[in-house]
Amino acid sequence: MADFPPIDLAEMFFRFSGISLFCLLGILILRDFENRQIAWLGAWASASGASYLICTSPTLNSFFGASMLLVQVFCHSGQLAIWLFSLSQFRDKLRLWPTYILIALAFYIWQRMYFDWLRFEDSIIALTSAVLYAVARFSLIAHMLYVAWDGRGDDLVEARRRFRTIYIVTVSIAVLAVVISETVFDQQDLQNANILMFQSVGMWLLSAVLVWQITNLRKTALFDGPSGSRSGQTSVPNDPNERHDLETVERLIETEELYLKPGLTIAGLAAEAGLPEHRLRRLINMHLGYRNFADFLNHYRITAAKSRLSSIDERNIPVLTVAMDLGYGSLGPFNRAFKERVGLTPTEYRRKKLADS
Amino acid sequence: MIELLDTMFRYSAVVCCLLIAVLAIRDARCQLAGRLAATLSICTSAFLMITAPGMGLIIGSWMVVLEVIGMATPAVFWLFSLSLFDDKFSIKPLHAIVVGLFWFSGFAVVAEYYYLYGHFAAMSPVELHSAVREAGTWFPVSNGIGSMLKVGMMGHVLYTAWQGRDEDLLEGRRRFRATFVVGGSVIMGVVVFSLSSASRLSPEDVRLVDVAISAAVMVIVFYLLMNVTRINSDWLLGDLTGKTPNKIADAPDPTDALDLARLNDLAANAALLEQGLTIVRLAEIAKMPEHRLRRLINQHMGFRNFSDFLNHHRIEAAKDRLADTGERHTPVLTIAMDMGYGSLGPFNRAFKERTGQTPTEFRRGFLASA
Repeated sequence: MADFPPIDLAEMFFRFSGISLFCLLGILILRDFENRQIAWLGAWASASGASYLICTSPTLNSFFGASMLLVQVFCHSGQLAIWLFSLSQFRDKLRLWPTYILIALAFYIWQRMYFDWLRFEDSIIALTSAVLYAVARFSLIAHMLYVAWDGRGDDLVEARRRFRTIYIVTVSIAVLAVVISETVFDQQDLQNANILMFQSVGMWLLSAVLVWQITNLRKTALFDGPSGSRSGQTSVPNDPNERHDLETVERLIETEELYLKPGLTIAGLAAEAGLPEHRLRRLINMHLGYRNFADFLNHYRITAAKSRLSSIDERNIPVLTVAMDLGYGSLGPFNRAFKERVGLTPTEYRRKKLADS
Repeated sequence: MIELLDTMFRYSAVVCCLLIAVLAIRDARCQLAGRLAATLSICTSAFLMITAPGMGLIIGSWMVVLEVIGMATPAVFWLFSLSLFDDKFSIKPLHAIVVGLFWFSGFAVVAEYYYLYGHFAAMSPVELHSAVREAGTWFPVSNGIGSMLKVGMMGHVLYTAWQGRDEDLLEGRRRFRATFVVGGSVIMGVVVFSLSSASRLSPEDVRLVDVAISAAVMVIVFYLLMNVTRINSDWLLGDLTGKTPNKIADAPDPTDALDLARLNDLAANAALLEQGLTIVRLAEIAKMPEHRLRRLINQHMGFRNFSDFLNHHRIEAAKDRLADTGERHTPVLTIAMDMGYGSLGPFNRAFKERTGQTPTEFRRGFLASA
């Protein structure tokens, strides 16, 4: 493997990051837009961004070997992908078939003919076809920019309106740079180290701007509001089945005071309620708003503890007894849970309540 | 070949980490988990850089900066995982002490190298450790503390993840706990094994292990990235049918409600039939700022384009006129002009798109049934 060109690490850094950002973009678009025309176009455009970075690097070219043939298909159709994606992004109600698809096909065939055959013919044919090819490429860019720009005034979706401008600036700079460099220089010049660096940094910037613009963090378990015990979103289920389940659970907990049972687990409650465990988990989370089962139990237990601790008749009952009655196995967990919710220890709370009354 | 693979996985992982950091700072900086995620991502990318083969030769003494950041990775990972699995997690003095001690034990090795050789080490942590191990006196202490804390933190976090499993009500997180515990234990096992047998491996094998590690990190980071990111809202989807206004925000606030009433009023008084009406002009007529008008039409009336909104009202008015028997001799062109269209083409297209018929067909059908 000694015949690999030397690796320029800085250049490679931008190239590889660009490739992975484009891949990420493509996968996210495919996943989040589901099976829609624009998703496929977006993924195609992203894939061609990544494959452009592969195709233009001599190192990666030799690395990929025979599989370059596949990569090249994306690379060569890159401009078309971006054109079609822009059209469907910025024109609502656009039908690609037949006009745009046919134009794209014709362009692709013409491009292959030009690269594989026409440019090696005698000078007149080569020159004419080169000029025609360049004109076609620039017209595609011009049309794409026109469409993005033209709809701006008409557009009511605020985020998209802002994105149009950014898209026009970044994508057009990138595409223009590629097209101009490929029109002006020939293949050999393009492998100059400075140009390689320029390409990878430029495409990296493009991918970074796009990723920055169109992705954000999902609300998952991880980044889900303040990490409090109770999210406060209790909702009444729409599904009648769920509503009955919820009523059952509430009856078991509130009327039959099942929360007092020592060592009550989620499996135990599920068995009592006659619900599958996973349904019960979802129910407590989605409709009662707790993130874990202990929180749910503690809520009821500590409420009951507060009323017992403030009752004058029970002032001589040890806190331990109260804790045991409420289903805690020992004093420690009870004290912790109490303090966390009330801000005082049970003894302090009782003293304060008795002093007040 | 191997170098290229390693570079590919490593740099991709670095950029994905940095992306997570940037997104977490932008979108979740108010939450502890968000800040910890950003810190962890930055530490991890520094760690990936310092462990890259030959990185010391390229960036020289800058290695020490990356090293200082990168060596905190296990400790930050510990805090981050705790915040992920424990809903009530907050950083307490004990956490700070453990992290500080761990970080200091790593820094002690760097400092001892400086003390021994008079310059900062431009080498990977493994090389640094073996250099200091040979010549230093304090190395066994700092290394011992560091390793013990590392094992302790990992054990603690695995225990926390496993122990909260039964209580957890968030389905996704519950599943992730199991993945985390299994994956974490496997990685721990691999690391312990490779450390204990590092001296017996040939240089080629070491390089292979390096590639495997950077590939694994790459896979994990990419998986996480896929899980925590999504495409921004739904505007990028483009409306494919165009006819159905998309979801309408309910309950406009009182100001919006007034503006909305004014807009409906204008629509009822044929203000939308003005020829060449633009959004700027309509904003003037309705006496509201343009951006408000845009938002109003989009969020409360559900149109994505101004022309959709216009067409909707114009075609409704056109249908009334075409269905009027008294006007059966008025040319379609006249009606189109009255509706504010400049020519017949756009009118016909808009009409057909909404009703499925051309204006002439519509009129004929209606008059036949009247």
